[in-house]
Formats: sequence, structure tokens, C-alpha cells
Amino acid sequence: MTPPDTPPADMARPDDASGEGAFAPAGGTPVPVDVSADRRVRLTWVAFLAGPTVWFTHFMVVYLVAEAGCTGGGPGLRLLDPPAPVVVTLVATVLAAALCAAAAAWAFARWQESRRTLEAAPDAGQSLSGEFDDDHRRGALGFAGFLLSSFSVLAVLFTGAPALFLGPC
Amino acid sequence: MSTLAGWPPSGAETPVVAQPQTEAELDRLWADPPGLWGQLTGVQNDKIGSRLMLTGFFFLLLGGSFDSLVMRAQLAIPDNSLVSPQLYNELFTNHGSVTMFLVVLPIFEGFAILLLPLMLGTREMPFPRLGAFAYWTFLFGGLLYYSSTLFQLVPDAGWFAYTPLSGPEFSPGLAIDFWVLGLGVAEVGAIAAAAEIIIGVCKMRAPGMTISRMPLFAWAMLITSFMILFAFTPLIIGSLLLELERGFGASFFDPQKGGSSLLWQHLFWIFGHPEVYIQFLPAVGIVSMVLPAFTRHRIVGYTWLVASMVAIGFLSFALWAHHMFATGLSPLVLSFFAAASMAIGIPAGVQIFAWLATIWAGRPIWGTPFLFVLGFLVTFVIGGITGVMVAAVPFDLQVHDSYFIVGHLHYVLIGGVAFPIFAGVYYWWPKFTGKRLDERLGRWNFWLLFVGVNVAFWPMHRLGLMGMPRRVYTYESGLGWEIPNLVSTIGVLVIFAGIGVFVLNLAHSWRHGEPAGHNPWGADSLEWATASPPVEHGWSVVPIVRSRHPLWEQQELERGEERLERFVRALSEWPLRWRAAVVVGTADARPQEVFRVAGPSPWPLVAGGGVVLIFLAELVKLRWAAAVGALIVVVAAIAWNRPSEPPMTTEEEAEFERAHHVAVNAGGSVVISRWGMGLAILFLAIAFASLLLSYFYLRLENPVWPPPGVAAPAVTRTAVAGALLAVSTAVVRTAVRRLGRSQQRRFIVGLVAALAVSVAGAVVQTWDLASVGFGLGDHAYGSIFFTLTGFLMVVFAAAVIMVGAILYWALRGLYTNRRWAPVSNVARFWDAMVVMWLVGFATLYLAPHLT
Amino acid sequence: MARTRLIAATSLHPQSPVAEAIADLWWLMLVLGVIVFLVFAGLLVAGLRRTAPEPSEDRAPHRRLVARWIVAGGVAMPAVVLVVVFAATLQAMRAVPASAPADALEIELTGHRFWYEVRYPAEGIVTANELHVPVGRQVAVRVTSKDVIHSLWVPALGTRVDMLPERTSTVVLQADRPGEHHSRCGEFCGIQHTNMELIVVAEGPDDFAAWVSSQQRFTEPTGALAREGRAVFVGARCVDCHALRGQQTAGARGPDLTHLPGRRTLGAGLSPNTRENIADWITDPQAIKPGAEMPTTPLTPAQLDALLAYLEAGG
Repeated sequence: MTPPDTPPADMARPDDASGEGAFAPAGGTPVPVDVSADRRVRLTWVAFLAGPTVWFTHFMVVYLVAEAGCTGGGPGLRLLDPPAPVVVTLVATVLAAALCAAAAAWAFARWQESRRTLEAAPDAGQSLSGEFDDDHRRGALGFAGFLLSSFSVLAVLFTGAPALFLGPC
Repeated sequence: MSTLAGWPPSGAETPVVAQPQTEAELDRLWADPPGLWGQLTGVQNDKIGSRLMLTGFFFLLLGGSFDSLVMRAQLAIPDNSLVSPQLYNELFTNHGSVTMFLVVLPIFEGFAILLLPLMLGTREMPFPRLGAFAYWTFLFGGLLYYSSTLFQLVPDAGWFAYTPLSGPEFSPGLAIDFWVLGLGVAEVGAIAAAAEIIIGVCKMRAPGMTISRMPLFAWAMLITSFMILFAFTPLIIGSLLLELERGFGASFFDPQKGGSSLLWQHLFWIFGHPEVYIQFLPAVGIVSMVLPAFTRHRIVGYTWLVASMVAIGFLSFALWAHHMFATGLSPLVLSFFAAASMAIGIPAGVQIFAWLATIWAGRPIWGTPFLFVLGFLVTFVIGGITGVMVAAVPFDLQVHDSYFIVGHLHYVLIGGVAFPIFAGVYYWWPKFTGKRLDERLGRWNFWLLFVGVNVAFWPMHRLGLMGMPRRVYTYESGLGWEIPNLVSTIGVLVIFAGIGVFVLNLAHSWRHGEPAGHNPWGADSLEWATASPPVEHGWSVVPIVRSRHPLWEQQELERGEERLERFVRALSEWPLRWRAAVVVGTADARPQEVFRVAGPSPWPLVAGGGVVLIFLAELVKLRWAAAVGALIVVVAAIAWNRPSEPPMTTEEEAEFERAHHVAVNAGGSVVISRWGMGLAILFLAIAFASLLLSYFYLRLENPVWPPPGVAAPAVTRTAVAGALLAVSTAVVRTAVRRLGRSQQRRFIVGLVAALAVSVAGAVVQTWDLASVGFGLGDHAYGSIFFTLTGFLMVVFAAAVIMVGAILYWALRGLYTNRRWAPVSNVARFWDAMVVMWLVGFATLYLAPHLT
Repeated sequence: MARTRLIAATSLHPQSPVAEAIADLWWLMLVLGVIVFLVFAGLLVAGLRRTAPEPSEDRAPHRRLVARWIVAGGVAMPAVVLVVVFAATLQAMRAVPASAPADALEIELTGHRFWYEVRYPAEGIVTANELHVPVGRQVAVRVTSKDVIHSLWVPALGTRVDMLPERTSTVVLQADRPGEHHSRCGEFCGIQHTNMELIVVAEGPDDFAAWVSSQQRFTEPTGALAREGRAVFVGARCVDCHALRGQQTAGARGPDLTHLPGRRTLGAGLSPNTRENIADWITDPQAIKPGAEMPTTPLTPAQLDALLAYLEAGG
């Protein structure tokens, strides 16, 4: 997940990473920190947490719809009366499972890509990593993202399945 | 199988930290002042960490042990009258509250604050003063809670304090206020420490310790700390609502006035269930550190363990309603929570099998920490299996609130949490005292605890199936409950003996322990490269990490990429006038910044005192004193953050920057403070979201909203106020950009304009609030309306105070386009405040019109 | 403190279709749990006893280990077990009737600190701490609470539902065989949570009908002593909280005392219903059930005698 080492040419002060471009080196010190990797790193974090986030969103949606549909008498809630909770649950489950599967595939591809990068240029990125392990360069976070997203597929299906067997309220 | 006699195993000579000539000087620089003043102002991480652990252990002896002994003595025989019903209720309330709030969490946060800097190869935690503040609030909160005993006003509504039993009608005295307010202070401390740990793990590591080389304990604490933030905040909001109901006549939980007793249960368990995993994940981290050392093999499935911990972190927030299976939720809802509760079995299974595989791959060495890990595995697996059972809704209904649950939760919390704590103490004690613990006593300690726990809690499962409810002060004979109860009591006595041996062992080692050396276990993580006990700053030469197991795979710790070698060597010699620490990239661990870590200060103590004064004033109903407390907090916060003159000129900073390509900020870190502000905003956002959910929950429970006789609010003035606030945020943004272009005057004018516009908006809004025609105490509608409003006003006031402080310092010329981090942080806070304001008032003023 | 003996309340001796389904679920989970534990323990013991090969730098075996252990043991095994348990859970949940048939007997059960009020609206019966149900019929119990949260928990019948002050929940109850079942309050409700017990009396149809008609009959106290007792009942302010329906008294804070002699226990399951126990209870309830809502009533022995006679006759 560590990107290939880029030369410290396009460096900026960390103040600058927030995108407030006005703080380019007006005051005159050199800009010594490499932030070129930020976008890739951010994507890695997204790939890492995408599955569980989708799962949790799915969970809250199906829970809140069922809760609102079965208890409340507020405005517009008649829309959510049975069988809406069951329908919403099934549709949301299919959607969320598909999203998690896509996230898993994406993380898997990223993981494979960083492995291939490593095999193609074994020296790339050596500047920081020693000779002792290469797990982190194999994209451990990408792999973890793949595991989490795959697990989320299971968890989404597990959460949504009861709608096939149980009445809503 | 080897025995401990073989330690350290041959060939396990591990590298140690280099000791440059500057070591003594650095040690002096980092030491806290001597004497009592030093004790009160000290911020050193080992001081804070060990205090948290000792205080937690003290509360364990007080609330965990003493209470359980008396309770088990009472239940040893049927129809016993050793304690009165009232005392029994106080005992179990205290036992649960103390162990859940004042024991496990502080001990783990103490572990983290004590260990992480050494383990991650850095000199300090990012906000030492915040750490000190966390300790003081925790201590004061615990003492405030415990002081109820002195006044004979001990809380008696259970550690869960269900409304309406805990409400003003059924618990009229001050007992529950002690519970709400005392623990509330401690919760503030828990959140502060969590923020400190998150930033420490993410930003303060040795160069080269990429996120996937990070020790699993650090991963565990990172995830745990995020969970603390997400779980404790709703609890604080719940406590706030409960106190408003108890002390100010508001109504959130009283069905007579539109409230719902279930709202409390939701808020409480959204905290309460993650809390279990908040206690469990650090234990996973400890086990994953101890096991490799005692099997001589790297942990199998590192990435799997990380993923499983993250999965548990997420799943644990979707389990709360499994404490509410009997409240009449719809079957579909029940099945969602049952599914999530069971799904957690998979990440837990991954962990168990990763550890099993590690044991198979390595060669076990039977030290005491390893014994505790084995004890953990066995008891936790049993607790996990019964956990899956109670996730099955119909079965849970049979055993809910019965002794089956008591058995289950003690298997999980003692097996899953206490045993790893013991393993951790046996494992790291030599590092921090420099002395070994006695292995023979250690084995006695383990076997007494292991046998005691199983004897005490196994029979409880049977009792639960036989129908014995929890929280009963006695039972009649003839139901077959006598023998299991007696056995259980005997088990608790055995546990006591085990804890006695533990204390004995610590005392023995403290006085006569053999010297431990750097790395008595031949372990692989960085902390074992330092001296035992370590110097104040931990690392004179910051290590360069090139492996997940640096002490096993690296010959030397300060070798690596040439640029980094020069950097860490330079840092051991410069600067020697201020406490310098390194900030690294979250994922890639490249040095980003060298910054000055805050030193000793009395202000954390003062701020903690102010916080406790606010809560104490509410407790004794001297409300003006709360204002004094709030003032103290504000003053202390400003004094604490007062930008002091940087001990270094910009030119000197620039020189180091040119030489090493790492930014230097002797005035305080830019990156760290940005993270700190981010977490503060996240905390407020979670609190705000909890209030909004409460609003909609109450809306759902009330078919008529607003209640009959109350008109839906008029939107005009609120719209004007919102528009003014929205304008102010644009003004702040513009002003900050002016500072970037070194236009000081325009910057200051902008700040003043923003203040003026926003205060005008707040005045318009307040004018409207004064004329809505209902009050806090009228109905759940009025209660939640004014609570949300009050929350937004407090956030607004905080933002105004911050901008005011910035303005004051800006007038004194403190900010330049090089030193401006506080300015951009306050601008971020302002944005967040305005967003909350707009969403909050839109909800309050528009939702009633949707009817 | 002498307690009554009843059939032990236990989840493992099901007395209704729902309880049977739950017991089946329990046995299934127990067997699976034992198997999982044995697999785990076997692997642990074997791992501790075996002699591992010399550590090597080759990582290939390490990767195989991950695949074999974690995927098979940590993912596949729990996944299979959990799918089975979850399916069984859903199956058992479906065994719980969602709603009672239209002609079901309806009972209203209200929790008080620390006793249960029981009403049969169609039959016009009000009683306390005893729930009589006919065997083999579904009964709709509507539960709510007057004060804090209580819980109806009849393990032998597989029934549990919280009694919330803000809403009325309905639970369908069915007993297969005649018998008496403990139902202790299942949610902590205060100082006397321990002594809050409902007895569910499952009776054959004829017995149940007889009980109903006996409850519907009121008798006028005839003896002089009983009439004197009536004066005590009013004078000592018992009447403020208690009702005897035949007597046009309407106190509603405490249990309805109509047909008190026919009840099994006093103080919500605390002591057997004998004359001496009633006397003790009236004179000093706080000694028997400290924290109960009923105050101490100082009475002369003669007044007490009269009151007891009135309660025995009153119905």
C-alpha cells in the first residue's frame, strides 16, 4: 500500500495538505514533506473500510424502516407500513450485497496490482522498507479491505435473509 | 516443551537502543519537575499510564472484589439475611458500574498510554496535557461517584439505570445523580484519552513503521479508541437527558409527558454493547503481542487479525438491541440484531484460529503470561459459544436477565478481558519496573484464578436454566438452587486467593525482584529494545523500522535508508532545548514533521477540577457554581493552549528543514493539532447525531407532534438567523485566506466581521426562542426542542470564544503565514458549528410542519 | 420466611409448544457448542504437545498455515455452525404465534411495584398475582405497567415480554398440561424486585370454568364480626388502596382483595395464604417485604380479628 517512492520534488508543508493553496511557500522555507502519495493512500483507506461501511449503512436502513413501519404513527409513515419493511429489506440487501461484492473485487484488484508492481520492480519502494519483509508492500491494507468486504457480503446477506421467512411486525 | 528456565532462548540476542552522549541531557529535558508540584503538573506518559492502571486496579479491589464477595456471601445459602434488600441492590449496582466504567477501560487506556510510545518508537503521546486531563477527570469522576457512599446515597438502580426506575419519580434522592454525574466525569476522561490514543497511533510512530508493520496492540487500541468515541458520546447525551429530566423537570423518558422509557434503553445500549468489545479488543491486542514471544513464532494471519478487529468494531454497533429482545420490537427487527450478533462469531473465529495456528507453528514456552493466554483462550471460547446461544432470540427470551447471562458475561469479561490484563501485567511489568515477577507465584496466581473463575461461573449457567433471575437478594430453598449457589460462592473465594497471590507477587518483585534486562522474554516488538525501566523520553535515537518484527529481524535499530539515518541521528543531538517528537504519515510512516511536545502544566488539573465542579454543582443543585466551573474550564483551556514564544527562531527551524526535508514546528504541531480538531468535531457531530436521533425517536412515539395546544414554530426569524450564520462562515474563510497572503489587517477585520454577523444571527434566533410559547418542562416536544437548541448554542459559544481568542492573539501579531495552525483549526470548527446549526434548526423548525 | 412450593420454573421442562421449540433450539445449540469446543480444545492440546520443526525463514509454510487454519477453522466452521443456528432460531421464532385467534381468551396484566394486577375484561374478574388459564387454548395477555418496567417471564411456557409503562404489548400464552408455573419479575424494578412473583395456574376446561364462575359470585358478609371488620377496613384506610368488588369499594393502588381466601400466596408469591400470614402481613408488611408500598397498620387484636373475618367472607 505504500506507493512507490517519489522523489521529494513536489513537496509541501503539511499545512498545505488541506488544499489551502494560499499557503504556498510565501514565507520562504523549502517545502520538505512528500504529500504526493495522499490520493493513493486515501483510496487505500476507502478500499479498506468500504465493505463494513456499506454493511453498517444497510443495517441502519433496514432497521430504521422496520422500526418506523411497525411502531410509529407519524407523518408519511404510512408509506412504511407493512409490507414495506420486508420489501425495503430485500431490495436493500440485494443492493448492499452487490456493493460489497464490488468493493471486494476492487480491493482485490488493488491488492493484486501492488503485488505485481512489487514483482515487476522489486527495488521500488525499497528506500523505506528493509529487506526483511514485504508484506506491507504487498498491500496488506488492500488485502484486509478484500477480507472485510467479502465478510460484509456474508453479513449483509445474513442480516437481510430473515425478511424471506418472517413477517414484518 | 521448554520451561522458563531456558530464558532468554539461545540465539535470541536482540538489538537494543543506542545510547548517545546526549542521553542524560534529553532525560533531564523530558523529566517532569520534582516533588509535589511535579506530581500535579506532570504529563509524562509513563506517569499518566501507570496512574490510570493503578487507579483502575484500586477501583477493582473496591468495587469489583469487595462487592462481589459480599453478594456471593449473601447468596451462598437460601433465605439469607446477611444484607438488606436495599444494600444488595446498591452492591450489584456498584459492582456493575465500577467494573464497566472505572476499571477495565482505564486499565487499558493506561496500558496504551504507558506502552505505545515505546512500542511505536516515539518519545511521547501527542497531547501529554490531554492525557493528564484524562487522568484527572477519571480520578475525580471516580471519587465523585464513590463519595455517594459517604453520604449514604449509593445508586441502586442497576448499572444500566433503566428509566423510569432511575427517573425523578421512582428515585427521588440524589443517589442516581451521583451515578449520572460521577460517571459522566469519568466518561469525559475516557473520551479524552481515546482521542490521544487515536492520534498517537496514527501519527506518532518510528520512521518506517508503516501501518501494516504496526504491532497488533496498537491496531487494537486504535480501533478501540474510535469505538470509545462513537459509543461513549451517545451515553453522555443519554446521561445529559436523564439529568435534565431529574434536575430540570424535562421529560424524555416519562410516558405521561410524551416521553419513552425505551429511548433510554436505546441510548444506553448503543453505548453498552460496544463497551463490551471496547473492553475485548485491547485484550486481543495484548494476546497478539504475548503469544509470539512465547511461541517463538510470528503471529499467524496478521492481516486477518487486523481485518477481524475492524469487523468487530463495526459489528459491535449493530448489536445493541439484543439487550432489548423482550421489549416488544418487531420480529424482523429482532432477527436483524440476532443476525449481527451471530455474525460476530466469524471474526472471533478468525482470531481464535489465528492464535491456534501460531501455537502450532511455534514452540510453546510456559511462562506465566502464556498460561494466562491459554486460560483466556479456553474461557473466552466458552463465553463466545454461550454468546451465540443468547443471540438466538427465543432462547435469549428464556434466559434474559437470568443467571445464565451472569455466567456468560463473566466468562467473556473475566476470560476475555481480565486474563489478558493479567497476561499483560506479567509480560510488561519487567519493562517498567526493571524487575522480574516470580514465576512460581505466577503459576499459583494463574491456577487459582482459572479454577476459581470456572467454579464460580459455570454453575450459574445451570441456575439460569433453572429459572433463577439476576439481581435478586435471596431465594427460597427447595428449587434446587442451593448447591450451585454455594459452589459459586466457593469459586469466588478461590478467585480472591488468586488476586491475593497476584498482589503478593507484585509486592515481592517490587522489593526483591531479579533485574530484568532489556528483553527478558526475547520478544520482537520495539519496547524491548529500551532499558528497563526506560529513560524518560524512551528513545534517544528514534529507531528506523524495517520489519514487522524489528527485534527479531533487524540487527540494528538505527540503520535504514540513508536520509532517515541522518535524520534520526540528528534528532538525538538537536534540539536539546525543547521536547521534540516526530510526526509520520499515517500509512507510510515517512517523517512529516518535528514538533514540540507540550511540557508539564498545571492547567489540565485545573480544567479537570472545573469539569468536576460543573457536575458537582448540578449534584448539589448550586447551579451558579456550574457557571464558575464552566468559566474555570474555559480559562484553563485557553491558558493550556496559549501559544508560548517558540524556543527557536524560524531561521533555525528552516535550517533543519533544509538539511532533512522534514518540517519543524517548535511552536506546536500543525498535523497533530489538525487531527485533534478533527476528532473534537467528530465528537460533537456524534453528540449532535445522538440528539437528532432522540428527536426523531420521540417524534415516532408521539402521534401528535407538536402536542395539542402548541403551534408549529414559525420559520422566518430562524431562516434569517441561519442565513447570517452561513454568511459568517464564508467571512471566516475569506479572513483566513487573507492571513495566507500576509494581509494581517484584512485578516483581523474579517474575524471581527464574522463575529458581528454571527452574533447578530444568534440574537435573532434567541429572540425567536423567547417567543415560542412552550418550555423545557412542558412535554417531550419542548424538552428535546430546548435541549437541541441549548446544545447548538453551547457549540456556538465555544466557536465564538475560540475566534475571540484567535482575534486577541492576532492583534498581538502572533500569527503569520508560517505559524497559523490554530487559525485554520478554528476556521474548521466554525464551519462545523455552522453546519450543525443549520441542520439542527432546520430539523426543529421544519419537522413539525410535516404533519 | 416460608415460601410456597410450586413446580420448578425451568426452561428445560417445556410445558407449551413454544417452550418445546425453544428447548429444541437449546439442545441443538448445546450439541453444536460442545462439538465446536471439543474441536478447539483438541487442536489446542495437540498444538501444545507437538514438537514443532525448527523455525525457518521460508514463508511458504506460513502462508499454507494461514489458509488451512484461518479459512477452514476461523471462517468456514463458524459460518456453517452459525447458518444452522440462525436457521433454527428463525424456525423457533416462527413457532411463536404472531397474534391470537379472534376468539382467544383475553387477559390484562398490569405490573405494579411489586405485584401483578390481573383482569379478565370479558368475564369481569379482577384478581392479583395469579393468572388462571385454560389448558390447550391460546390466551392473549395484554401487558403494561403502572410505574416502572417489569417483565412477564414464564420459563416453563416459553413466554417473556417486558411490561412497559408507555405501551401495551400482547403475548400469546398456551399451556399444554395442568400445572402451576412460577413467573418471577424478569426486569429489575426496585427494592422488592426479588419478591414479585406471578403464579400461572393452568387448569382443565372444567376447573377453569369453575374458577371463573366462583370469581364472578359475590357474597355479602353476614356475621356481626365481619360487618365490624368492614368498619375497620374503612376506618383503617385499607379502603383507600384496596377494593372488594362485592362491597362497592374501589381503591386501586393495591391488589384487589375480592376472593382473597382462594388465592395461593400473599405478597406476590412471598408466603402461603394462611390466616396467620394475612394477620402478619396486615400488621407489619415492612417486616415481611421491606420496601413494599403497603404501610404498617396498627390494629388492636379485636380489630384485626374482625378485619380477617371480613376479608374471609368478603367477595
